[in-house]
Amino acid sequence: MPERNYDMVKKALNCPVTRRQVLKSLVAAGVLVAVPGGLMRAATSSDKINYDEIFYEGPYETFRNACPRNCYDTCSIVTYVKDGAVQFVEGAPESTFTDGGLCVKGNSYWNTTYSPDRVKYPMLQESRGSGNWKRISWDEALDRIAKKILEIKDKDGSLLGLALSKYSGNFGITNYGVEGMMSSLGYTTRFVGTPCWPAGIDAQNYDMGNMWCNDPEDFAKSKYIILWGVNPAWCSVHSMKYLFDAQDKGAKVLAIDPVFTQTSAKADEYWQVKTGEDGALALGMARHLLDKNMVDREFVNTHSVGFNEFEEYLKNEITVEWAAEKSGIPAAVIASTAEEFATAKPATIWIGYGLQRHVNGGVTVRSIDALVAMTGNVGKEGGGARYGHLQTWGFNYHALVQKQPKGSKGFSGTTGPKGEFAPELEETKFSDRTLNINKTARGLLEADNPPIRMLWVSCKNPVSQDFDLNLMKKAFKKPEMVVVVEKFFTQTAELADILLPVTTNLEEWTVNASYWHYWLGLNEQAVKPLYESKSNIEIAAALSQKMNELSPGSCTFPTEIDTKEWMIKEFNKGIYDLFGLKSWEDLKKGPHKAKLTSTAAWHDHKFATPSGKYEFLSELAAKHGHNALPKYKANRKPYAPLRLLTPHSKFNIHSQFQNLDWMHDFNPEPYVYVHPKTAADKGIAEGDRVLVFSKVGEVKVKAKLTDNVPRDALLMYEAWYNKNNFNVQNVVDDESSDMGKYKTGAPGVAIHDQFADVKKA
Amino acid sequence: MESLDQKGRILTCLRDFFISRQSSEIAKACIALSHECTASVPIATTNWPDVEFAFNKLFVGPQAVLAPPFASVYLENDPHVMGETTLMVRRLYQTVGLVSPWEGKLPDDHISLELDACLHMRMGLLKSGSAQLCDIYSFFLNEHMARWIPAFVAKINETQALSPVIGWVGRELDNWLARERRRVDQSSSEQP
Repeated sequence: MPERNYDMVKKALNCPVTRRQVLKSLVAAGVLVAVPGGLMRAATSSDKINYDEIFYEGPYETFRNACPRNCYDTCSIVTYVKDGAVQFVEGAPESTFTDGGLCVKGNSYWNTTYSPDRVKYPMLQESRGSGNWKRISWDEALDRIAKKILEIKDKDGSLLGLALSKYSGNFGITNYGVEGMMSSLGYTTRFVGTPCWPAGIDAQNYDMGNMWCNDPEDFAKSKYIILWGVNPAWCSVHSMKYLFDAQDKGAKVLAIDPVFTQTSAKADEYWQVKTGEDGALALGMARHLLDKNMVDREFVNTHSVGFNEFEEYLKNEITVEWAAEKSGIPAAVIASTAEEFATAKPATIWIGYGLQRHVNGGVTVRSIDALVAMTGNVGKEGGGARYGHLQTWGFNYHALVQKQPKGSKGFSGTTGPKGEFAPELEETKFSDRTLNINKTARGLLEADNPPIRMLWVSCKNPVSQDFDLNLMKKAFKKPEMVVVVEKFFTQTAELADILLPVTTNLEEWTVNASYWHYWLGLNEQAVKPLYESKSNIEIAAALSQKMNELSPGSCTFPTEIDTKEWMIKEFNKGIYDLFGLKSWEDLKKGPHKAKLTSTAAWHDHKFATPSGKYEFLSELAAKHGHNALPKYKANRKPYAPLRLLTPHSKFNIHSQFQNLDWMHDFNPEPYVYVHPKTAADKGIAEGDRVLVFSKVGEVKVKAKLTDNVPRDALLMYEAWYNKNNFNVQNVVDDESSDMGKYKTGAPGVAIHDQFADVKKA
Repeated sequence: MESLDQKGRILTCLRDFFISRQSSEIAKACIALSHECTASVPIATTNWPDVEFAFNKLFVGPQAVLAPPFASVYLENDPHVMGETTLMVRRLYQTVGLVSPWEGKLPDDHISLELDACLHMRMGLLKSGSAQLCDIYSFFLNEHMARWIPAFVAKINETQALSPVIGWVGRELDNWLARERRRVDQSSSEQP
């Protein structure tokens, strides 16, 4: 609205006399209650009307929020509200990590909540994928869902035909109530594992007994930093200030990445490693340190097991020249850098998640861990093999922990559903059926006895984010009912039968921790949920009410919940002690940081491995079918001429944010990035529309030429664009990575061991 | 309960149309509207479930809506709901003694709420003759609704192929606004 008009109405409406006189005349005339069938109601009755109420620009109310996405930074947010509407958000100044600033995505939370494109009401699709939707009431939606669940139970004798696909769309702790809802219905089928970081988690567990990283704020104490397969300039912008601090103090920063990223541009040195050969590079560095007698013998002798065997392996099978050939980094550079790294105390490596999304990803992380350990940098402030941590996630998981209804039948072991085959066994021995989340399409298609009859999706967009789109679309045709809980009309929502509107983080109560930094943030309900959206736990409660109406006792989830109370129930003494809180209400004043004995993980060198020491040789790894030592493992054999990389862009976290208008302004369309020489070979010019194709499928997209990508690679940033069917999963398959099953239930996925070709469309 | 004149009845039909939840409500509003003004489409043979699908694509979702029914989407720098426009409209409602039953869960500048507010204000004017109410109503029509309804109707027209019935209702909305603005302007000029 032009300023002049806005001023006019402000002037008109802020005048109490005007309002008083208008109201008086209307009340006197009985108009306020006299309009036939009016939607509006009278604000006040004539005898209670407050003539002196003045509406004016007052101070903002502020609320504490947190970014709940799958992001290193998990920012603490302050939300400014006026007249019940969010005006803007900013980073919380109390957190030294967030430091008062948000990234381009975090700043758009206002736009997320107030996008006109939100899913507003429960909707029913006439036939799956038809695009013809009817608005239905919550009652009708839940009635249809509950009846289907009861039908499945009646047909199969269990609810193993009901499957859940959920991951990281909202990491607010109360959102684990979705899993709780499933448990409260019975034993169901769960897609387990993670597409994100599982191979590295297992690797760090074999080496150290847990995944535990230093406080990222202690990067500033480092003398030498290797950023290995990680792009914090885009994916963890708040970590950059600590890296810059370290540089200012004289530390060297080396970026190792197949792609010349924005982080690489900020580093002192950049190595364009051959994709998937990071393990060879780490082993080559390790071999050189042996040759130069630069191993920290005090650490390996006192705090580790298996170093002799590792040393023998390096001497017998690894040379720097071999590592140079494999990795594409010159031998002299490998040697001199290894020496620099070993000499600088402390030195650290940030191990990115990209480099473990390979068939050799787990062992690559183990190789890098070994390099950090043998130089004595594990357990040192400013040192460490940094990957992630879950040290601050000791909540009660009150929403998650729900009991199955009495008499529920489920799954047992690996032999199949147990209910009808061994009814004499006690129900406590039943469990959920687990399927690999990274092979969701195959799970939906192949699970049998019983088949997946109903799929519930929340906090996830598998059609955009999971692998082999053609197979996924086929798989989504199989269940008899698909329920999707969403904020926006994603490509998964397109294939729902029933779509339920969920709240944004500004509309719900929860609490958030990070898997990178050590801050804890409250997430208050800053504004009322728009339209008919409900939080995940409110949906669970409403479903429970409907289930119990139709079949008493069929769902144990409480039917009435206070979402704020449920947030409070997630806290416990351990959390209070760790963060120095007297009450959760302390977090209303701002986020709190864990009280750390040291900023270093493993600072006491008491490792959580079976031996209690760092394990260069892990018998547990061997027991799980891997090499006991971090031995080189070959990359996936190419099946097309070019490698295909599909990493994160700075404008989205997976399929979130890019759909917003604000992001569209910054980044209106997707591209495939091609090396100019490769493009020349193929006759492709800047801006040409091209076809990227592989054995999996094809994608039509415009080309951008850049030597930031290797000559043998194509790069497309994974994203979900609004009103655009672009999807990198058309050309990505579901090949597994080597590790992940031990700690997450399923192996990871080799997202960057993909191959494709390109030609002019 | 007061009876409505023809313009009031048209306003009611338009309001009810845009707040419809299902095909039966859409049909009821359209049929009632066709009794007040000549329909340019064959109402009797309309397939209402198909109209409902189109209606949702335009105004409800779950797809990104083709013609968002919220003023702020058209009047703010960024196309979003619950902006300054929404709050201004809410204050205007409060000034004339009204409050949305959805209390902010549905943005106050939804087309149906605005049409309903018009209904209240024109009824108030007819009953009270308040000059100040006349000013507010005139402001609302001329300085607010007239600044976004044409863009809203244009978006409806862009999707005419989806549903001719919805296109017709859009034109009737445009017509109503033009006539009402003229009427209120004339009435204002006759004020002492």
